[in-house]
Order: sequence, then C-alpha cells, then structure tokens
Amino acid sequence: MVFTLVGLLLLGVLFQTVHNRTDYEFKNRINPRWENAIMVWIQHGYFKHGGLFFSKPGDADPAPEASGNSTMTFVQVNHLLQRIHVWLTGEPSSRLTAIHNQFFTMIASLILGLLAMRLTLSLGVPPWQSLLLGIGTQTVFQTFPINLGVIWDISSPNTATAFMLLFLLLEERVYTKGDSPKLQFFRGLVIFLLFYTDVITSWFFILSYIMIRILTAPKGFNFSIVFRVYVIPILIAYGFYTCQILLVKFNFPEMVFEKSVGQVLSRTGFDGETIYYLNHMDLLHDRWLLHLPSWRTLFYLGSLALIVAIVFAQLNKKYQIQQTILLAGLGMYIPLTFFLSEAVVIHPYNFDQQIAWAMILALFALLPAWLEKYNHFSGIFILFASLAAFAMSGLQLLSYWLHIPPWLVI
Amino acid sequence: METDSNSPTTKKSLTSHLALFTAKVTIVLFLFLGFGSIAIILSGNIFASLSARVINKIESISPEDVETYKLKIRRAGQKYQPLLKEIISAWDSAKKDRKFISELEDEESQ
Repeated sequence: MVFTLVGLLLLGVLFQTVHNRTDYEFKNRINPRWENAIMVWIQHGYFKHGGLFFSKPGDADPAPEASGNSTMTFVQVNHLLQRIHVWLTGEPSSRLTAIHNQFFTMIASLILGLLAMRLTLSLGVPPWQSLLLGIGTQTVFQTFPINLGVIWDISSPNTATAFMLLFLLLEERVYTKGDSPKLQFFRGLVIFLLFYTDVITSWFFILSYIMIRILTAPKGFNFSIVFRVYVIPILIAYGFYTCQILLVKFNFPEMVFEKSVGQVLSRTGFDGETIYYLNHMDLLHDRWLLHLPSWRTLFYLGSLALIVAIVFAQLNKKYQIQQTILLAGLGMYIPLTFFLSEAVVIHPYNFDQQIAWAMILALFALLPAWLEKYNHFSGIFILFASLAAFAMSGLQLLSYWLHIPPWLVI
Repeated sequence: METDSNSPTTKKSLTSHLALFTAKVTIVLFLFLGFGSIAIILSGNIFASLSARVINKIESISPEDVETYKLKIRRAGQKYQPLLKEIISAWDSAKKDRKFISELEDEESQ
C-alpha cells in the first residue's frame, strides 16, 4: 500500500518535471508502431489479426506481412485503454500511451521496493528502516534513465521485468514463510504471464534461476513443484501463442511471417554483419543508448555493492535468499548478454534495466542493511542510503532531462 | 610526552567532531543534489514553456504586420540616426583626446 502510494506520487512528480511535455511532443516523439497495431485491431478486428503485430490491416495487402516474434501481450493494457479512448473521443491518445508506459515501470519499481523491504527485514533491520530502504530502492529504479526512456517506446523485455520481480517476491515469501498451493498457483500464473510476454528473456531467467536454486537451496529442490509451477504454465503460454499464429494463418492464408531463425543468428552476432555490432567489446560502449544518458557511475558502484553483498552472504552462510535473488539478476543477464550480444548491444534500452535492478537492490538496500548489522542497527547507514537514493534520483532526472529536453512547441 | 592537545580524550573528541562534520556535509550535499536537480528541471520547464510562447508569437506574426514593424523600425532609425551619429563622434573625439593627453604626459616624464 505504501509502495503504491509512493509509486503514484513519483509518477505525478515525473509528469510534472521530466515528462511535462505537450500533446504535440507526445504525438510526434512516441514510437507509433504499437499505436498503429492497436488501431489495426480496433478498426479491423483483434481476433481477425490474432492479436499479432500488423503495421497495416491484413485485408489491405494481397500478401500481408506480420511479426510472429512477439505475442504482443505487453501492449494489451494500452489496447484496452485506447479502445475506451477511441470509443469516447474517436481517436487514440499518445498521452495515454505515455502514462501507460510509465505505469509499467512504476509497477516494476514498487515490486522492487517491496522486495528490498522484505529482504532487509529478514536481515534483522527494524521495520521502519526497512521501509525507508525499500522506498529509496523504488525511487532510484523508477527514476532510472532507461525506465524514464520507456515512455517513448515500451518493449516486451521492459514489461517482463515486472513479472520477474513479482516472481522473485513470491519466491522470497516461499523461502521465509513456506510453500502453499495458493503460492504455487500464483507463481505459476506469473510464469505464464512472463513467458507469454517475452519468451527469450524468460528462458534465460528461469533456467538460470532453477540452476541457482538447485546449487543454493538448503533443503534440496522439489522437481514435482518445477513441473506444476514452471512446466505447465510455460506449455500453456506456448499453446496460446500457437493459437494466435493459427488464427492469423486461418484468416490470411497468404500470410508471411518474419524469418525468426535468421533473426536469432543476427542477434547472436554470428551472422557476419558488422554495421551495428562488431564483437562483445561493444557492450562496454554506450553507442546505442541513442538520446538516453549513460548510467556508468551507477553500474560501477552497483557492481561493487553486488560483489560485497554476495561476499557478506557467503561469509554468513545463512542469508541464502538475498544471495539467490541477486544471483538471479546476474544469472539472467550474463548469459543473455553473452549469447544474444548483438541484441543487447543495439537495444540497451530493452535489457539494461534487467541488470540495473540487481545493482540498485544491492547498493541502496542490501549493502546498507548489512553495514547496519555490524553497527548494531543505529540507523546511520539507513539515513545515508536514503539520502543517497534521493540525490541519485535527482541526478538521474536531471541527466535525463538534459539529454531529452522538452520541445519548444505549444 | 602526553599533553592536553594529544591526549587520547582530545584525539577521540577531534575524530568524532570530524566524523560528525563529514556526515553533516554529506547530508547537505545529498539534499542539495536532490532538491537542486528538481529545481533546475522545474525552472528549465518554465523557461522552455515561456520560450515556446515567444517563438509561437513571433511565428504567428502576419506578413502585413511584419511590413508594419519594418516600417516602424526604419522610421525610428531615421529619427534617432543623427543623435546616434553625434554620440559616436563625441565618443571618438573623447578617445582621441585621452590618447593625446597620455602621449603628452609620456613626453613630459621623459
């Protein structure tokens, strides 16, 4: 409840400061592709187009082309909102898209804040101090430049982050309070939503998570739960996706889908193409951040905090869940970056937030909590971490605003 | 030899004062960075919206009005040009006078 209020308050602050833009700017700056697809669904039928991405109506083209790479789950809330807006005013609203895009990052941030609070509570930090750490973590993540940039173009990995964090929050509950059929159902639901939203990052996340749990779980790992919580929801997600493809094939027999095999090869960087990407060293440059500011300072400080936090967990041997959650962030991002390096290099605005949350969690919540533990919970490190989070958020906002200033139009 | 200035109590007190000072400076710095950034953004937004209004106003001036303003500026120019020329010539002669006086003073001193 507190985190929702903080999230909404931050959303209000963002739309009064860095996102204080005119309708003209929203209309001309937001990537129009998803809005176009939504309008195709609204005007020419959602089920007819299988809920997949069509840049123009399937009937308008004798040999229509569609993208079968995404289930388009991540724009469904916007689809619903735009339907209501079109019904009321007769046209779509770009401002509504902007609010929707920032709403998703708000959801991810509040879940991260709640996770930070729960993880620090289990370290013995007093409740109000944990709350402060949680709010600090939430604020830094919600004002993280890449998350602010999501306002102009949302993608499936951006949305998947919220589901990954929700899954980890449920796992933390299982770890501290024990498992129950209700929790298994909700975890299964989140896994379904995760895979139905973004299948590629989900595979990297879930495989690495299962591996980490097998290696770190103190009581072993129950494989019958794996089947119920992971395998069945994943199969259902694939089933839904197949239905979408079949629906499109049935309505448009001449349909041509993008070649996904060729695309996977290009995303690995092994296709020989060197225009956008050369090798893994390109990961160290911010060439493709486009107009967004670099977040190197946070990256280096966060990496240091992450290492220190994992060393603390290793020394104590009893704070497994904190370690598991931090490793889950690394475990997803590092293999993804290694295997699909081209995709990560040229789309940092899609993937950087998936490592940033682990670093922000370590730097603004777990590290101060551990330092407090050695300082008998005097509260001094909590105070510093909260103020540092406030300063960092301000600087992030300023840096984003300077990189993407408002247009001088009315 | 132990004196008042290097006794363990004084040293401890100095260290704690230094730590407290550093902590206070850090807190002020963090608050300054946070509030300062938001203040810059808010004033920048106000400036941007005012500039946008001015630009919009300038762009919306009709060609007839542009001609009228052109004429007004030309008339004002013609009216004030003699006065402006006078001021410039007075300024030039004052400059020459200063130069001449400084040369005379140099010669006298030699």
